Amino acid sequence: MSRTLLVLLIVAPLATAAPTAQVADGKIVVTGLLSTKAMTVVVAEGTDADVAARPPVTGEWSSEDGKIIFTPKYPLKAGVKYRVTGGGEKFEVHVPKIAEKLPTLTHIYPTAAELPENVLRFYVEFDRPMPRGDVYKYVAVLKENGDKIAQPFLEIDDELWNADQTRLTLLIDPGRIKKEVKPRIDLGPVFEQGKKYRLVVSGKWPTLSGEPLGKDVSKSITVGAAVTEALDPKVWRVTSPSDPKQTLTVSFGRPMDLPVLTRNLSVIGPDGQAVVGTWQPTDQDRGWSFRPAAHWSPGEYAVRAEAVLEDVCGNRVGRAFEVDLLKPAPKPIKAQALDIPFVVGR
Amino acid sequence: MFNRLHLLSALAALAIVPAALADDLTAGMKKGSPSLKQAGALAFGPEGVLFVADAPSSTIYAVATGDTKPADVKSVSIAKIDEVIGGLLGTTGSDIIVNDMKVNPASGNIYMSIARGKGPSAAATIVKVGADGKAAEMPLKDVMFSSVKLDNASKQPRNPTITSLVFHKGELYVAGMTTEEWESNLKTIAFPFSESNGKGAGVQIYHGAHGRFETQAPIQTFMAYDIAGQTHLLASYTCTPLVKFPVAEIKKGDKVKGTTVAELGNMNRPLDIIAYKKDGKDYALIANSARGVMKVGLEGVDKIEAISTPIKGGGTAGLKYDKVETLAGTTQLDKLNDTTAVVIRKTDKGTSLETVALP
Repeated sequence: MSRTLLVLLIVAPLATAAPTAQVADGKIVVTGLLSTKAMTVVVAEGTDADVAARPPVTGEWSSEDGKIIFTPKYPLKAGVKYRVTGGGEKFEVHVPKIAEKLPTLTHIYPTAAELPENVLRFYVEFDRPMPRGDVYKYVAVLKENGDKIAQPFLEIDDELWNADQTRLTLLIDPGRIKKEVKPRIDLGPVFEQGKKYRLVVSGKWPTLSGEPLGKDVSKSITVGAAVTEALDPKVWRVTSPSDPKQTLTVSFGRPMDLPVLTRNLSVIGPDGQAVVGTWQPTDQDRGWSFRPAAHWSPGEYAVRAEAVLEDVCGNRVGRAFEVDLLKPAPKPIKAQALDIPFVVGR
Repeated sequence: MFNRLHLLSALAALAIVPAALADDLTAGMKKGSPSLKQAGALAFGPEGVLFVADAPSSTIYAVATGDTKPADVKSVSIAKIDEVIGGLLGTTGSDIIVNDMKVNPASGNIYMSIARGKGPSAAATIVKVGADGKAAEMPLKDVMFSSVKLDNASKQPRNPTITSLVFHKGELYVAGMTTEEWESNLKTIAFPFSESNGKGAGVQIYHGAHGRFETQAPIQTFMAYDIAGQTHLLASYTCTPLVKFPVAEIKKGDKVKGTTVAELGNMNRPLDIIAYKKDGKDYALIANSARGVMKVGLEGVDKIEAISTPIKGGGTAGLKYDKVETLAGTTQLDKLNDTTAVVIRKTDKGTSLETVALP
């Protein structure tokens, strides 16, 4: 008897208020209904037919304090409408858009304005994550007269992003770089020596919030001779620091791939351990300067170049991007890590 | 009596074989919940074992789906599959990426690896479509699974991607690239995964243009195909030729050069490749970014040595192919059975999941 009374006491006030649904803390909260039975939530964007064709959103219904609550398995999406049905009621709830700061394109690598004809790789860097999917619609290579080059990039389903999606790798279609393969035979190379181009990242590119990126950003490229030889650290010019406070400089003689360089070039101290310090690219990625955290101590050091180092054309230590088997390299270079010694004097 | 005993023992042996096989396949598996950072390339092993590539974690998961019995999938047609999956996962179709689609050969059910969202924290999941044409998430909680971490030779992570996975005769083949170094890695990993099986032999795949110019050539998509009793991989490189190489080559040395068997033409990107038989002849069906679907006759693939002269103009060399116009816009392709394929197609009406007759 007392239980019946209790239920009646709870129901009585609810029965008078009209049922409502709203979004709170990433959940959908329905008041004025008693049972979670047959309750569904569907995404309510598009035409009626679109909505009708959608299955219910995956999640769990529960009851709490006279309210029924839908906890979605995946977060509700900002800017999207959801339809809640059940108990003879139909509600529409809208998840408000959150004003987010738009990403800004911060760098396009390589930095060099003049690049070899056979440049393989570009990196486009942003200060905030960008969305995966459809990137190739928003990047282009234009000739000097503004004409677009058809499909200059190798389009990879996965797209080549770093883990936090702030850096996109763009590879020039290798079929347009390699000799005697069909794409190049039919269409020619993407870049030709002596000509000027612009790599353009479109401002129409939608960011994660759906807002476009903003302005077009472009990088001017003047194309020089192809670099077809393997990297040979033995020919690099290493300038030892002249006193303990100076920087070490290395000149590669060609623009290097900076992200690969970051992980694969180091300074080894007299104790055989890597020297802690900071480095920066110089001379438009053709050089490198290194300053140790502490002053240099006198002794024998080395610049250690890993075999996987690459220049901007994909040429590695001892292994060119493309090898002409009929023309063996005049000077074979071993494809291995190499230490280039230098001395810091007293 | 003797005969009857004999029969009984034969029956008993028959009963034991599949059970033993199943035990083998789940050897090393543990019950748990694989936490996928990304659900990328997929492949099915026998008895419903699903391989899922998680490139950001440099890991391949093998999940015993338990989906081992024929599910009588004959005809499926879901319009706006992206919106349907989006709806299921609480978002719109524009927020969904279907990374891969594979048919479970044991059941005929269709599996798709999904990114729910386009940002770095997008959730990864697998969605299954069965004979009823309904999409549902595959449970990834408290399932039997094992995993293998791929070797990462470099000192620091360099954002690998896995372009394609193939399982054939107890081996998983994994083709990948990286966002940095120019690599064309192909790994072979014995399954069930185990410490003693190691992390797989890795080879670099090379492309030799007309026996002269040699480059590393990442594989975009590939399939296993037996040629004259020897397992080969039939692969398309990112620079477009279709090549073959025997898997025996992968196990020796660190460098394999494919033999070009067809030039698929420029401005084109092969997306998926399957083999099938029709009227007693073998064919490959290749979904492409630009040229729709190509049907390639495989007769004579065993005799092709290499295409040794450049092909000028718009023509192609090697194996001949026909374009299958009716399948234009195909982005995902897999075989359902001997006569039917499953495709995901993008047309002006949207993105659909359909079964189609093998041409």
